[in-house]
Formats: sequence, C-alpha cells, structure tokens
Amino acid sequence: MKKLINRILSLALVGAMALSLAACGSSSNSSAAKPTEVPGVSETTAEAEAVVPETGSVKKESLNIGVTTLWATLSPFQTTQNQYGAFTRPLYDRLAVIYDGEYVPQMAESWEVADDGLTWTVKIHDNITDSQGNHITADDLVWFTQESMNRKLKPLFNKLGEVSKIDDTTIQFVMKSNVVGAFEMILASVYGVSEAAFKASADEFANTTVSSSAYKVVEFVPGSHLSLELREDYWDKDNEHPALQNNVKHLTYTIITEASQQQIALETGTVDCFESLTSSLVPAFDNNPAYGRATASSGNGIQMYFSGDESRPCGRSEDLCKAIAYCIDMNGVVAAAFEGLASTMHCGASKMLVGYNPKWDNEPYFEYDVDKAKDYLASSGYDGEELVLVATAGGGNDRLAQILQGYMTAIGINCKLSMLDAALYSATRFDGAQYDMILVSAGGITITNWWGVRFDMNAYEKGDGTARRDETLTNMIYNTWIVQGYTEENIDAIHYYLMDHCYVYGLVNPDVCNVYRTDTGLVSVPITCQGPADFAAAVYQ
Amino acid sequence: MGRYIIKRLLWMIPIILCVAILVFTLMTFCPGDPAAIVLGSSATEEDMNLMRESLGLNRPFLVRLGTYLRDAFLRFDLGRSYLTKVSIADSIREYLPRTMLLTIITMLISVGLALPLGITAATHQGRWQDTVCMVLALIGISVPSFWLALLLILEFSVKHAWLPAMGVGGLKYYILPAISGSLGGVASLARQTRSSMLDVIRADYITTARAKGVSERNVITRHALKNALIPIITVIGTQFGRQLGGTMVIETIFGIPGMGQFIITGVNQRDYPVVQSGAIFLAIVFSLCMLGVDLLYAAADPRIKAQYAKGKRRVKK
Repeated sequence: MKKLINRILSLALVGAMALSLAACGSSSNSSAAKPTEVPGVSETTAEAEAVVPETGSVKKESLNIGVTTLWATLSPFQTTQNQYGAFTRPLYDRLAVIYDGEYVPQMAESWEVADDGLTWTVKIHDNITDSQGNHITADDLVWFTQESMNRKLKPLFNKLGEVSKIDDTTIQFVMKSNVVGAFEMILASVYGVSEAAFKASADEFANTTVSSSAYKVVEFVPGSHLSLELREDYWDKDNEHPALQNNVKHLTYTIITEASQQQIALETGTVDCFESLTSSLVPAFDNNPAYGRATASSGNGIQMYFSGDESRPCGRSEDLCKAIAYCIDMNGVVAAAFEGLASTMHCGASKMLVGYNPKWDNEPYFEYDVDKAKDYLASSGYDGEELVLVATAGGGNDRLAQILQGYMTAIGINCKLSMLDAALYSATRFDGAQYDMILVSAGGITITNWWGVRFDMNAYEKGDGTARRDETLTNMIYNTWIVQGYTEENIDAIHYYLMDHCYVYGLVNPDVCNVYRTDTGLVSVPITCQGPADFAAAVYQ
Repeated sequence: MGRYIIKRLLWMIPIILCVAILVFTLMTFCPGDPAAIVLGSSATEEDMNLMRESLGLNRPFLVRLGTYLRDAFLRFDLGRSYLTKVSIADSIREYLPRTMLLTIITMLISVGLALPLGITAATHQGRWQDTVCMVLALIGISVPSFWLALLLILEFSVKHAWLPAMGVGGLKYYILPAISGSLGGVASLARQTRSSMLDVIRADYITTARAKGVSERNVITRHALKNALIPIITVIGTQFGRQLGGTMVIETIFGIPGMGQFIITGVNQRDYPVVQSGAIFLAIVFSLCMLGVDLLYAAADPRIKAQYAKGKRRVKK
C-alpha cells in the first residue's frame, strides 16, 4: 500500500513537471499574439504627419509610451546623454527648444547678441512658476547655469565664460568665444528649476522633480518606468507652438530594452506607442492597420572614419581610403543591415545637423564602382596588410561591420573586425594607431561644431578624432566657427575637402521608427531633433 | 556557537577588504576612460581632462585607493555613481529588495521542486521514475533561461493574459521571472539530492531503521534525508548567493531593475564606484550565505554543532 502511494506521489510529481514543460513548449506555436484590429482604418500602415500645423487637440486621458532608454536619475544636472530624448521635455522646460532645425523660445521671450558677438541678453517670461508654486526668476536660471558650469557634466557649458542677472526677467550670458551655435545649445540646456526647491530636495531631484514643466512626477522607478501627470496650473498652457503642446493628462514612460518584449508590449497594449522601436521589429507592424509609424532620420548618422595616424596603411594612403569608399554599395548595406529603414549619406556628417547643405544630397558621393575601387587600390600600393575596422559591439553594428568587411574582401582588402564594448571603444577611438577604420555614430547640433569635434587637430592629445594633424582643415573649420565665417561657401569648402582627401565616408542615416497603436486616435506627432516622436505633444482625435 | 559566529563575521573583514582592493586595482588598470563615457562623443580632450580632475582620476593610484578604502570602511560611504551622481547606497537600497524578492521566490520554487524530484529518483533508482526525473533534470539544465522566459511570456502573458510580461509591481510580476530563473537550479539541486540520498540510502542505519519497522516515509525523511542534507545545503547556499548577486538575463528580459542590471551596467560604463561597491556587496552576500550554510550544517548535524561549540575544526581521520 505504501509503495503504491509512493508510486502515485512520484507519478503525480513527474506528471506535474511534464505538464508544466509541455505547457511551455506549446507556447512556441502560439504566435497568436495578434494585434487588436481597429475598424475603419485603411489597410496600409498609418503614417503620422511629422509636422503639426494645428493645435487645440483633444486632451487624451492617458498614454503609455515604450522607450529603450531613460534617465537613471531625474537630476537636471546629469550628463548630455539622452538630453534630447522625448521624455525630457515633459520633465523640464528650457529657455528654448530645438524643433525642425530651429530654436523655439519656451521660457525665454527673446534673446539678442551684442556687437562683440560674445555677450547675449535673454529676456524671460515673468509668470514662470513650478509645480510647488515657486516663482522662477532670473536668479534661479543664473544659479542653474552656474551649477551646470561647476558640475562639468555637460561639455557645452565649458564654452560659457560667465552668467549674471540684469533684473528679475533678464539674464546676461558671456561666451568665451563666439562659436556659431554654442550659445543656442546653452539655451536648450538651461532648465526651469527653482534654486529653493532643488536645495530643499533630499536627493537632488534623483527620484522626483519640482520644475516649471507642464507635468509633475507621480512615480519614478529607475530602470523601469516614469509616470507623469499634467499640471492644471501650468504657466505656459496657452502656448500654441505644435512642439510645445501637452495633449495627454497621464503619461507613463516604460523602459523596455529587450526586443521581443517591445513587440509583445505593443501587441498586447501594455504600451500604446514606442519611441525608437528596434528596427528589426518594424516590419512586423508595417502593413497592419492596427499600427502606425512616424519615421524620422536619426540625428546620428553612421560614418566610417579613416585613421589619420601614419603608422596605419589608411593613414598613409588616401587612395586606399578611396578604394574602400568606392567598393561599398551603400544601397545594399541599407537593404541588408537596416531592413531598408535608413538612407544613404552624402556627407561625412548627418543631414540632421544645422548647417547641412541639402544640395549635397543630389551630388555624387563615392558611388559604388568596383573598377574605380580596384584602380585606387592598385595605385595605393596596398600589399595585403591586415586593416583593422573598429566598432562598438551590438546594436546592429556587428552585422554592418561584417557586410563592410565582405565588400572589402571582394576587392582583395584584408580586413579584420575589432568589435569593442562601449568603454573599450571610448578608450580606443581617439588613437588612430590602433585602427584603420572606425565606425562612429554620434550627432550634434551644428555641422561646424561636429566637424570641430572630429577634425580639429588641437582637440585631442594625438591630433584630431583619428590622430590626424591637418592644419589646413583645422583652420578651415576654425574659420566657420565665427559668425562672419559661417557661410555656405566655407561650409561647402570643408565638405569637398573632406571628400577629396577621403578622411571620412558617411555611410547611413538610420531611420528612427516611432510605432503607435492606431486605436490611440493619434493624428499627427512632432518629432524631436534626434528622431524620437514626442507623443505627449501629438494631436489625438 | 556564538563565538563561532562572531569569529566568522570577523573573518569577513579581511576577505571584503581584499575584494575591495582587488576590484579597485582591476578597474583602475582595465582599459576604458570613465570621463569619455560620462561626457559622450562630443567631448574634447580639454573637457575630458576637466572631468577626470573632477572625478579625481588624475590623482595617484595609491592616494585614490586609500581614499576609497577610508570612505568605504571607516565612513561607510560607498560614493556616488560617476554617470548619474546618485548615491550608491541609495541605489542598492532601491535595487536590492527586488532582487531579494526574486531570489527568495526562485529558491522556494527550486527547493520545492528539486527535493521531491531528487528523493523520488533516489528511492526508485534504476526504475522508470528515476529515469523520468533525471531526464527532466537534464532538460532543466539544458534549457536556456531566456528561451524558457520567452515561452512563459507567450503562454501566460500574451495568450492568456494571466500574468504581466514585464515590469515591477506586486508579487505577480515576479512569478514568471522566478520560474524562468529557477529551472536550472531545480535541475542541479535535484541531481545533487539524488546523489546524496543514494549515498546514505543503503547505509546500515537505514537498513536497521527499516528492520525495526520504521515507516518508509520516516526512514526517508527523518533518517536518510537528514543525513544527506549537507551537500544539498551547500548547493542551496551557493545558488542563493548567486541569485542575490543578480541574474542579468532574467532581469533584462522581464524589465526588473535589480542588482544584476545595476552592477553590469556599471561594469560596461566603467562606473568605478558602482562596480567597487557592487563587488563589496557581493562579497558580503557570499560570505553571509556561506556562514548561513555552515550554521545550517550545525542544525542538520549535531556532530558539527558540537565541534562549533568546542571551537574545534573537524579533522578527517
């Protein structure tokens, strides 16, 4: 009898285990994760308008937005990483916001520069209040600016000499030099925070904020989600600019880094929309009437910089660099590595940068030509030495690097891939002696500033961003930094100089795909300067 | 017994100190510049120098090490993250409870399933029950946790909408992660249980107990299992420590911000204070787990308890 009971017990145990495993196994067939169908919507994927001409949209009750990155702290003084993320605007007002390549006044009423080109006077609104009712004046914004300068977490503040208050609504900024665009970047980085409220905070706003923005923080779980609620008493609720609308009462940003979870969250309605969805998932939502997509070019293109260090073959031979540029079929790369969700570049800088000349898009740019590539390779004296291509591992870079390697191999170039983690990459990227080519994905605000970061021979210990020392180019760049030299002619000259010497080969501008459920009633949505859609400012039916 | 515990706790101090020095040294000489990571790609050399100065990275190694040890061990100040400037102690307070809850549920599932499976396999050695249990254990070890996690999400979140697929909140948010994370543990623990039980199940005292008419249930639970517990406790203790250190894969898939994500992100971003404090935390956790294991040995075996009480080591003859 006891044996029988034991047998039954053991059978039951084994059965339970087997059943649980079988249940899990059967899930593999359940691709039944079908999206909710919305009647009355056309069969093709809805495409939201990127620019919104109208305001006064219906206030949506709540919206859950999926994001891949979110601040680990809500502190306004953290680094510039994610500074332009769409979730930043509902958290903090700025003196001005960047929209469609222009600076739109927010807390600032106006700004003007003195004849010296260095002194800027900013007039701010006199009715700015935060969520605790504190009146935000010039004193607060001067304190915020000085604190940003002292903390040194945002390099753009290093270009500022001093800041002072003229009166309660007027602030004076004095730049160290009149670099084009530098002051405007500061405008976009000064947040509406009251000094008193910040100092009263026990954790320096790490977990909750008191700011002048339209939303107040309800809950923040670092690494998980951020919930915000629209303020009834927002000081700027009558602003009619489409990029500064606040059309959702309750906003939740949920961090989802894992790709399959992003898809599941959209399909099950856990999130209503997703900022910058992983590109490999986008085809799953295309041609499905239950979903729409608002797409924009990424503010960060992907470029291949050639080493400027003469110890490397690419640093010694421009012809070798040109052979590499001509042997790559970028249309093929876009199709194979980006699912078609990218556009080819026509310059070493992203077309989203202020100062980019659209005429370059219609000009030939290292067009795929194997014969030409072989001619350049022959004239370069390349002897089969191993070239090193450095890139950060993951994020689709592995696939891109392998495809580039394949193109080079096809014309007889021996290329080795060196895929590094972010920290190793950052330690390697300025040392051109360690690579021949390096894939860079970074953006900025103005094209001249971006060129300065990459090609100013005085910027880094070993030279420019790839250890090159080209005095001519450096002087050309310096010339465009001052207002008088910031001309189309001078910018053109740098663009063509870089092409002639093949210091950089612009590869692709990946698309930022913002996917939303059409049952949200979304009509149109503004896009931030880096590509994510600002769903809080979208127009809803 | 109390003296033994105090002695063990005191031994933790040099262990943790050594771990702190080792990790600090490794991070210092590991390639990667925290200043470049903090400031991003648009920073110039001048910007990075300012940041290195601000973070104290330009000071000599020994000065930095001394400052760090003084702050961590005398002032109990673990510092702030380079990247977020948030206090590490606050971050651990934020992340640890989630990892702790996940670990406890995971271990409950592991132990709750593994012990019956292992005992069943041992008591039915060579028969079909044994084969089935061990095949299940083999499957458990072989199935990657991320794959199982995705299957569970499809079944219980997408298909039936019974449990949330991700995020943090109430207890229900931890069920799928705990099941996914426990399967590997169930398998190894079941195998260990079977092996330990087989060692004792044919011992003379078990035969004697049966001969005296003790019920089979009592023979297994009160005589065999109790004597087989020592290696099982070791495995449970190790698994508990490992789980508490954070399971990066499970936390990433289920969007749970826990210790695993916290420490791995710190490593990837060369956020020295996060990594150093994370390592100290792990050292403490493992030391405490091992102390807990040793105390459980004493609870399970009176001979060991007697040795602890006398303050003597067990000597193998």
